[in-house]
Amino acid sequence: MSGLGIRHQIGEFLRLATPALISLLLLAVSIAPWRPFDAPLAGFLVTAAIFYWSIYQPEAMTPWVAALIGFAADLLGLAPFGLSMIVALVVAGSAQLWRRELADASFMLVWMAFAATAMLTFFVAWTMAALVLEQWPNPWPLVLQTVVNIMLYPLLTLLFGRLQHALFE
Amino acid sequence: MRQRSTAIGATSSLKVWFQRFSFVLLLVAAFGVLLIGKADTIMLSRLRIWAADQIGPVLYAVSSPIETARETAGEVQSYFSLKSQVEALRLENQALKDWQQQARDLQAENAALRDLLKMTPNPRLAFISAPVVADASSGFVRGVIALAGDQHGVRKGQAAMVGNGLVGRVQDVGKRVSRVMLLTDINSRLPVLIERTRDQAILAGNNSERPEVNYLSRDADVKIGDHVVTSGVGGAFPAGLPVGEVADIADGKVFVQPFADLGRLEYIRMVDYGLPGVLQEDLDIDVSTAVPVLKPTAGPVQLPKLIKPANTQPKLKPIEGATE
Repeated sequence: MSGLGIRHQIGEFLRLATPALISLLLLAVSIAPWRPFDAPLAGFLVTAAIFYWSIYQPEAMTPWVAALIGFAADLLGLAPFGLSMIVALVVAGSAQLWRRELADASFMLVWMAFAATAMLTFFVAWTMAALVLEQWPNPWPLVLQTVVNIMLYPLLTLLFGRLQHALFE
Repeated sequence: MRQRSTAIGATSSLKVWFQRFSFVLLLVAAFGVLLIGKADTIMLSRLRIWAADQIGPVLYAVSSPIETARETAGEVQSYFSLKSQVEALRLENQALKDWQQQARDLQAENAALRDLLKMTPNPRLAFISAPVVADASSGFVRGVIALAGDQHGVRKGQAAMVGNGLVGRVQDVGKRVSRVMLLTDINSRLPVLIERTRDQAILAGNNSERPEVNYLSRDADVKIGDHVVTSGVGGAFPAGLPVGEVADIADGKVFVQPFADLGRLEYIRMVDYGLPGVLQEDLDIDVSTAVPVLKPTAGPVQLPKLIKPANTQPKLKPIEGATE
């Protein structure tokens, strides 16, 4: 195989890996010891990345990649071990389920779909956490996280859109 | 041509089937991970601290520019409010001078009383200051990762503090980093006492900004603004470390606002008080016999019997010539 072919393959791999790497970077940024809001937001922003890339570049955000990102969040200790992985898969699954309808839909519709997914993940995460912790966790921090996550989705979409344009179009 | 399109259709449906199958497989694996995490907490904490050890430098690299931006913003903000700050500092300085005088009086009184009791002085405290590189606080857990670990002398169970109060305790220690469970974490239980009334209780984290005071005596006369300090029961921390102040009393529940700003921790200080404590399972202490299991009850609030482990008795020498 020629050197050009190998270089092309490496380039292709990096291009496909970029959404996952961006998601991991977002994970690292979201746990920086500083937050603009007085609410613990660690890890949650990454669900927006999984949702976006699952719709617009599903070959770069397969369920395996989503599960790995969730596992990375689990290793950081942001939730009971395994819960972030389940949340990541629920988000990826919802996006895949509606992908055909959402891929060409208006931004408002996609935003509403993300809001519905965020609320679904809130209920899944809260119920699963209650099962693991054997008590109902205080829902308000989680509600706040969900609301902030939904509000920040347009800004993140803007960034992801630019990146998608540069990499995939 | 028809055969070819049938083959493409079969491949496509196989691909869809594989995707769905892998999705179900991954979901089952995730539930498996959840169960393993619940069953084997020691392995889990080792795995997590190993991962934190590996990515500690990356987290530091990511948090550094954010920290610099925050400092710059803070400096610009403080430049514009210099006059009011000077005035506030002048008033604070006056108040602190009064406190200093009181502290000197108390220090002298304390020294005299210690001399009277022939009390051995506290062992020299060991401090390890470390930058906070990650705030791993979410809706489920409250914790931070600090860039100091085993090789710097951090040990499991040590108190984590900032200048004005207790932050939490060291939960896991890696080679280069350590994970600190904050007072506000749902798993945090801290023996405390109300400084003014001397009522003992347990400060229980609830994943909100204000942990709740449990097991407070029913006739305790607690008021908003009362200071809450560690009681020393259980042997994890010494008595008297500042924790917070009573911020809210609602429906018989007492909530405490920690003195430390737990949402914006930059540096923390791990303090070794030389107490083995009940939190260090590594020391083969039978935790179940050291302190009773405390569970909230639906009925009237009762003060449980808090048993002090034998190894945490204060080091007091008997007064010579004293009779029982």
